[in-house]
Amino acid sequence: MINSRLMKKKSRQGAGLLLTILLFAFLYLPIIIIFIISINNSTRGYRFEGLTLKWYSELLFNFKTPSSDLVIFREAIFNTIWVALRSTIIATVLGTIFAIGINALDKKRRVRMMVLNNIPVVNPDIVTGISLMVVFTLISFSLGETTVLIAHVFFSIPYVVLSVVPKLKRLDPNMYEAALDLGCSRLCAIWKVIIPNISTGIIGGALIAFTMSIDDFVISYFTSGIDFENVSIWLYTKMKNPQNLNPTLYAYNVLIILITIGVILFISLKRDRKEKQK
Amino acid sequence: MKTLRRYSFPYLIWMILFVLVPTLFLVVLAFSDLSLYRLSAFSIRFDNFAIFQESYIITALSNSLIYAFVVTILSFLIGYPVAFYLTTLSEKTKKILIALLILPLWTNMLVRITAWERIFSPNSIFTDIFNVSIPILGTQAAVVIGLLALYLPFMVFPIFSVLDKLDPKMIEASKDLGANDTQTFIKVIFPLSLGGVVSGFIMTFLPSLTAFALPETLGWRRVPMIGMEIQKKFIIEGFQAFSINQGALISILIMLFSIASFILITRVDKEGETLI
Amino acid sequence: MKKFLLLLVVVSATLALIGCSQKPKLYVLNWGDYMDPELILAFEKEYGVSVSYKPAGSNEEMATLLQASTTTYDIVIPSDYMIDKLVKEDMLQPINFELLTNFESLDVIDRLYDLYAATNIAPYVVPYAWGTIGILYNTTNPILKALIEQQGWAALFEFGSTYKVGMYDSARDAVAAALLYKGFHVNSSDQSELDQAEQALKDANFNAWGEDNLKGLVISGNLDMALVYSGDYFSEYYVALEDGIAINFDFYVPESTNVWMDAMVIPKNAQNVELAHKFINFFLREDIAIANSDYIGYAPCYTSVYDALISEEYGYDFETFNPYPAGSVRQMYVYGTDDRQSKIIAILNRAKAAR
Repeated sequence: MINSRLMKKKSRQGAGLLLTILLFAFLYLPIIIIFIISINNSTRGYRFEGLTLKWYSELLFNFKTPSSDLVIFREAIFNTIWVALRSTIIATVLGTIFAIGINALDKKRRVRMMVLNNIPVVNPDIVTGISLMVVFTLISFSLGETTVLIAHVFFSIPYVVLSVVPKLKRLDPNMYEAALDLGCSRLCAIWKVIIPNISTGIIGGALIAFTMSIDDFVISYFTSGIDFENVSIWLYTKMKNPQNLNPTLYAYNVLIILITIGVILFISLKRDRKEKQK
Repeated sequence: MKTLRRYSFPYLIWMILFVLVPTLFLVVLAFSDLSLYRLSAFSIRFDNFAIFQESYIITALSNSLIYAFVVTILSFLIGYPVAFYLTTLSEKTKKILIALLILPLWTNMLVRITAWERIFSPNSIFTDIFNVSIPILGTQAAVVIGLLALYLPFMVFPIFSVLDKLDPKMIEASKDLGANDTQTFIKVIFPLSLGGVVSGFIMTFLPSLTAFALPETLGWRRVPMIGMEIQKKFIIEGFQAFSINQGALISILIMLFSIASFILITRVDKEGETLI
Repeated sequence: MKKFLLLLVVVSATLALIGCSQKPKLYVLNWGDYMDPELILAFEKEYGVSVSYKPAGSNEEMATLLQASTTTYDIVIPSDYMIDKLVKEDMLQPINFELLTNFESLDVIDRLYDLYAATNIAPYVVPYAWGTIGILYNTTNPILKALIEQQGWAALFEFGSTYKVGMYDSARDAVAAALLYKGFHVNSSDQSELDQAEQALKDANFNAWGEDNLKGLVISGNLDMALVYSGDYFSEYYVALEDGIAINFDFYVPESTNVWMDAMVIPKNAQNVELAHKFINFFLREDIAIANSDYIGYAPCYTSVYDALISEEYGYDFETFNPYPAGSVRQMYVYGTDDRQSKIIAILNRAKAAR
């Protein structure tokens, strides 16, 4: 509402609306294509050959006679989610602890730590990926699931820190001191006073970490070696042969979008209800 | 709360291990004949610089710089007005539209690239259904449009978050002092949103500069970009003598761009609050 | 919040328990889609092991992966010239043919044996498949057939302004095609000949550089013609036949061409040498070899397997299926020197960047 005064003129409003519609059309065009491929009754997908849900049932329910491709794809999906879950938990815990530590520093040091924290956020993925690959190779750490997991924790922590620190700043330090005065140990004070007050920041950070991990391609690609394939790496090797891209891939992606919509709706509904109760 | 500061110390070690050490090692690789896979004594070697005289590296570098620049400017020209427009809407519409803007990002980037591949094919499901054909695969246009589609949202978010937090009193004050709309925008709103703009520029420029899966697919490998060359030097041609050293040298060059971006961002936004 | 965290911990703990399994693992490094996955599954079941199959896009990529000490492979299937290089680098171990019981009952096709026996790689290899490079074209435009049969390699290099042409993104094949087009030997290391080949690649102005995707681009009509391997054509041909799709593409092998061989080798640092031999032996079992060759669409290297495929049951009775028909003259690629290899890689890089 703030800027609405500047937007008063109809023509400007119209131009803004038009540009926004165009932007959404542009961003959603590939999503529409993905959706169409996922319900198209054709393996190769050059033509539209009628509606079907068979790719969804193939992906979700065919456990008796899956093709070897599907077995590998499912394994890649499992790997993706499994790494994302673990890296999110580790990064959220570590990131929160680090953020509490950073917040307790004096201003000069805090700014310095935040600058350091932001390096992986700004650095292009390919540079991060190569740096990590080089460091793992240097210490002869065999590339595989573990190195991918460490890499994901590495690039997730800064997002958690970025999301938690602003909440900590708003926290009244006296509350923590009061808890200590009342006989709470340091850990107890953190758990009882600090954590509950920054929980939205922690959850927000965890959500970002999870999405970054699930979507990551470049960093996983450089740190994965032979023994590990997530959806992105699997897809990248398949992309060299696009006619072999089975529509189950697109069905998987549509499902991810639907689940995401569900989660967002759930969270916002819950929040609305809470606000109403207040 | 001062006692809690000790929790930041392990983070310092962690960052040194994963940021400083690999960077130093890349520098050593770039300026020597050390083999990544067969560690041994090495000597300083400046011949790796000859890579910058190779026509394909020059083409890839200039392509990347030009495309990244074009993508960033286009993103700004589209993204700023859109971000601005979004702030004028009611709280509820705003929330829904921002969520809708994030939603496509939940689709795997590579899957979106394969979707664009079909859109740009002369012959695909896209042409079959929509009856139009945009056969531009293998051209610079396909690469630039593809990059724009991937990274434009990263221009909108930071600008929106800054604009949305602007204090309405500032604008009113400007009006009360007799400024018209244009003046208010140029003198008050835009300077205050600069932090978001800089973040947006960096978040679109650097990924566009270093993309490799996208130009490979949408450019049919006819449109070289520097990310593809780095990947080639490390993965595909890595067994050739000095290939990885050359790749490290190119990576260092790219790092210079991110350091420059970094200095810029630290100027306007010390704690990186516009980064997420 | 606490409940949420607790839930996460429980979920991850259960998943961790499911995720563990301790079967012996065999690491295979091969080209994408170049081994019947159902047969790999069959091997896993028969021997109670698990196979990790990593696809690579080029011989160069395989060599890089092999060199990276962070991962070790038990079986690799590179091509002739790269095997030559790997042998020279002392990265392979000799095959223990005594363990390959199925190898004795098979005869390597004479012409192929003569070709590779000449290059000192014989003790290290078990031939996997062989073939040629040629031109895959879309037959929707009836003029193309006559043009390609008349022009040979020149069709790829001189008609870029009229037709959409794709070239393989591999130094070996692209430079070989250019050398053949100019009338030189595929192994030429003469600087002026290589310069001419480079110029030809630059002038050709290809619409696309690709790998496995080229065949699909031709079949979908997105390209008119492209350089592909012989097996690309046959595998597509039979897929189309099975799916009942009209066949709108054909393959032409010009008079002078390159013949190559891919072979199974065992790297020196392989962790599971015995199992690797079992794996090779499994794929040499005649029925398995036939099924696998039928899947990949490349010519088998063994007489009895080859005869089975050209028999009526499988019906591969094409002229072009034989990589080395009697009376023709074909050239096999050798690694040459490191210097030449870097030269042709640079040629490819420069050609791809040319506008």
